[in-house]
Amino acid sequence: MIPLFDVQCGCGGVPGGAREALSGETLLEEMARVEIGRALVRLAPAAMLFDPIEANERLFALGTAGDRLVPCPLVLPNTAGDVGPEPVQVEAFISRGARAVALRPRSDAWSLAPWACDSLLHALEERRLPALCAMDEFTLEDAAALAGRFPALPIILIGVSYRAQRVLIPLLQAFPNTYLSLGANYTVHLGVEQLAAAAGAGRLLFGTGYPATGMMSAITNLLYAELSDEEMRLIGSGNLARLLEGVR
Amino acid sequence: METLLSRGRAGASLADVGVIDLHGHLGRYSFAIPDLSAGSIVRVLDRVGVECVACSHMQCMGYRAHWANDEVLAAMRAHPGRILGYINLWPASVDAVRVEVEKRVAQGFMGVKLHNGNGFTYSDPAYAPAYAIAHDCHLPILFHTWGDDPTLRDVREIAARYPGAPCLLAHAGAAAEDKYLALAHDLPNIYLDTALSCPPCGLIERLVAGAGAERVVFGSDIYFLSLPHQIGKILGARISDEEKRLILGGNARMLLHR
Repeated sequence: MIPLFDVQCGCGGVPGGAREALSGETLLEEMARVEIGRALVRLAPAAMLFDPIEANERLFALGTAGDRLVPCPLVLPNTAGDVGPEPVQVEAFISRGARAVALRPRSDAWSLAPWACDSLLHALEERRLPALCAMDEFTLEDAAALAGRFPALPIILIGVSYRAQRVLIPLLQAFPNTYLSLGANYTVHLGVEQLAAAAGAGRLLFGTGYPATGMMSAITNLLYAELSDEEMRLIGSGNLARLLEGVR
Repeated sequence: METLLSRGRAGASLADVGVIDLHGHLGRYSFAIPDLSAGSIVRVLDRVGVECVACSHMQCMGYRAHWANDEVLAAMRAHPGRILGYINLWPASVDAVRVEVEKRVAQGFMGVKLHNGNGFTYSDPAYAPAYAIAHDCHLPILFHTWGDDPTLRDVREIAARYPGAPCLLAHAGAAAEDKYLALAHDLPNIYLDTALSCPPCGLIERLVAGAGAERVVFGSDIYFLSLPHQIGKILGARISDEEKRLILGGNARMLLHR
């Protein structure tokens, strides 16, 4: 059985129309049902998460369920002096078990201009703390620009469309510190195989997109792919585990 | 105990399940698809263990229906029994549609695929011969839908007027789930197709609860989308394996008289 470590996953937020937040227990139960061993977890759905500091507290309160859940908090530049110095934020996250962070420039109203965010990105790069860039917050060009300015910072692209293959291939080839989650919305006919051949299986990460969508589609997309067992193991869990172990 | 969920989790072949995919495509589209050959589709069918896929050409949104149908016919002949053909139609006139449908049915096409992205509604009079032939011959009609009222209203009228034609609603639940369920409830020849790039959690369960598993049919949208990805939501749904088998192939087998 190929071990799976989900890079694009969340709980703790309130799904649209629901009256209760999606609990950590629900996430763990679904992971067990489809045999996903570990997950990098953000607070999601994020629709009503207007307070990133409170969102992070709720995320850490979910716990780690052994080491099955790895927190991925939100991080912001301290350009307005309201969230604490970036190196302090990063140190606090790592000491609480975080091994990656999520960037939300649109939702949290900050700029990707170098003069407005490089202090934050420097702090992340210093610790090799992977940064998740979701496509509802970034364009692929935005994410590539960060990858180019901070070559030691792992940039993880999530929520990439099935229509982006013409951009993804040169992006992954041009920026060796970029990684792609194969979770929603990546459903490309023989696309995983083409990316593995063009950029290497080491750059692809298993991800689901839960709870916006179910977990099983991403699983079958990987396990029925024309890949070797070794490539599936790298994509399924090995690559993400290696990235998170690289945090200083 | 081995279940369809556990088989999907293992990446094991479904060859003994009799999976039939009722929503596939051939031909180029605007975004890049890594392999546009019909052979690449068959390779995927073999890997997953899918018996066959019913394909229309990507030109179902365009005006080159004759050429598109010839392309599909070539794939049908190259891969007999594995690639089935939907007829694409351009509503130039009543006569043109009638001639094209009669010709393609004689060539072995199994149904009709319509897309209203071509600028014509499904109620356009030129389509009438296609509906009449589908009714008489019990040919499935796959309608592109996205939950909007005018489209679903058209399909409701067509399904009511031509009860012998199974009407498959592509992308069921992309929006307005309740309207799809109401259509399936009201009309016995309505079937809900599962192709959707990013279905919300629990969609399959809700379609089955609201319409019955016997009214839901597996469609992947290959190679617009990935078949291995699309089949996961069926294998992983919180429904019985018996219901999954109906969706994956049992219902399609009945519709195609296979």
